[in-house]
Order: sequence, then structure tokens, then C-alpha cells
Amino acid sequence: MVDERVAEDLVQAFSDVVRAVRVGDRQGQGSAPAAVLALLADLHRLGDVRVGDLAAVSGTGAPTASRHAAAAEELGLVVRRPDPDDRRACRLALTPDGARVLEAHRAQQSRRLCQSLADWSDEDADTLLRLLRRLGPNAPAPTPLH
Amino acid sequence: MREDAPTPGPLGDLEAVLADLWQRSRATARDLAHGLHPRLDPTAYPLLAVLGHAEAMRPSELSEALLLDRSTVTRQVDAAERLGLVTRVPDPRDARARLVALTPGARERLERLRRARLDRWHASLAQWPTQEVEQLTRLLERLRDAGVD
Repeated sequence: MVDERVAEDLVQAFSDVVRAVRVGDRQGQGSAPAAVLALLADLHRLGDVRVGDLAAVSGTGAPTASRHAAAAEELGLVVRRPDPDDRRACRLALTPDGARVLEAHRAQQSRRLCQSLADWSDEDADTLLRLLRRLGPNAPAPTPLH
Repeated sequence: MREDAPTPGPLGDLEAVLADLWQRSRATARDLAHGLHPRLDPTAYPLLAVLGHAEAMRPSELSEALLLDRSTVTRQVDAAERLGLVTRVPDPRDARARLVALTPGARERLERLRRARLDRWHASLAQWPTQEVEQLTRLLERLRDAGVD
């Protein structure tokens, strides 16, 4: 059984890494605010969705989700279309520009990661990979601050 | 360094694994925020987590700890205050200033969530030799120090 402190250290280290990525995101973004990028990522994952469903997925509540959707729409990154199943509702979809912005953001994230791993040996990278995989999908995901 | 093509070898795989982790960590922040209050915006979870480690903090300290500008901190504190999660208290060192603190209810819920997460970590690590947990910790610290930013 792993000692309490050893486990806490791991959780802390994990949390610090996620935090570093977030900070990098904030500094590196120029194309769109973080909330809009998160919305684009949700749309990319889910396909066309109603704003209400998006609010449920992102956990932000309908007013916030509508605000982010409006911001993204203004930037031309998403478009509203009438919902074929419900005439009073509409669905959000990524525009080609939205898909490009999301793709560029992801590429930038990977690039930053590659830069920070550039001087790692294959062996160290392998070990990290093996240990992370061993944690498996059931392990709790790290949060920026625990 | 190439700009677009995925990196081959272990680094490329590592990237994919880490990308998946970031994705899941966003979902986790969402769940934790909901656990504290159904209407708490997930981006405000770090504010409450930081306050959970202290009695009370100045807005300037919060801004520094969270790497957020003062106006964002103020907005998050206002929202959390409306939900009854934080409260502003007088600063004993400065009569004109106010400190931000968790309400007792929020502190208790936060502690319960933290405990539950740590239990899950323990369960995930149950079969691991201590040495490997320490190795993973060291590698993650190195990743952090390299400044993933």
C-alpha cells in the first residue's frame, strides 16, 4: 500500500503540471478567449448541439453558455441553425473557421509540449508514458489545483 | 522542430496520453464545481481550492496564487459569495481591507470532495510499488519545471 504522503505528492505534481498547461494556454491564446476555445472543443466532440445541451455538458449554466455561444458566433467560429426537431430551438455548429481555430490551438498546445520534452531521453519519455498508461482511465484526472 | 505533423515515437504517444488527461481534467473540474454548488462556474473551482488551504486571503494574494488579474478574482469572489460559498471578512491587519474566506459549509464540502478524490487515488495506486509512484511524481515535476507553458 502506497504511503499517504507519497500519494499526496503525486497528486500535487499532477495538479502542478495541469496548472502549467493552463497558464501556457492563457498566455498563448490570441485567437479566442479560453471559454470560447472550450466551447469549440465541446462542439467538435459532440457535433451540432442545442445551447441547452451544451450548458449541461460544460456545466456552466444556460446564461453563461449562451454568452459564450454569442461570443463565438460574433467571431464567426460557430453558427446557429434551426433545430429540425424543434422549431423554437436552434443548434450550434462549428464553422470552418471555428474548426481551424480549434486545430491551431491544439497544434500550439502540442508544440509547447514537444518543446518542453525536447531534451528528454526516449527512455524517460517511455517511462512517463508507461506509468501514465498504467494509471488507466479509472484514475482520477488531475485538476489545476487540488 | 516541425510545426504540424505529429511527433513520432514515445513523445508522440505521450502527447496523446497527456491530451486525453487535459480533456478529463476539464471534466473533473466540472464535477468538483458541481459538487460544491450546482450553479458554480467550473472556472471558479481553483479559487475555492486555494481558499481551502488557508483561513482567509487578501484579494491580491488570491490574484497571485491563481495567476488571474484582480478584476477576474473580484468577479469570481462576487459570484461565489452570491452562492454562499465564500464570505468577505474584516482584515485584522488593515481596518480598510477585507479578506476572503470559505463559509463553513463550503469548507466542509470541499474537504469531503478532496478526501473522496484522495481515496480514489489511493485505490488506483493500491497495487503500485511506492518506488514507481515516486518515479512518476519525479517525471511530472520535471515536466512542470520544463514549463509546459
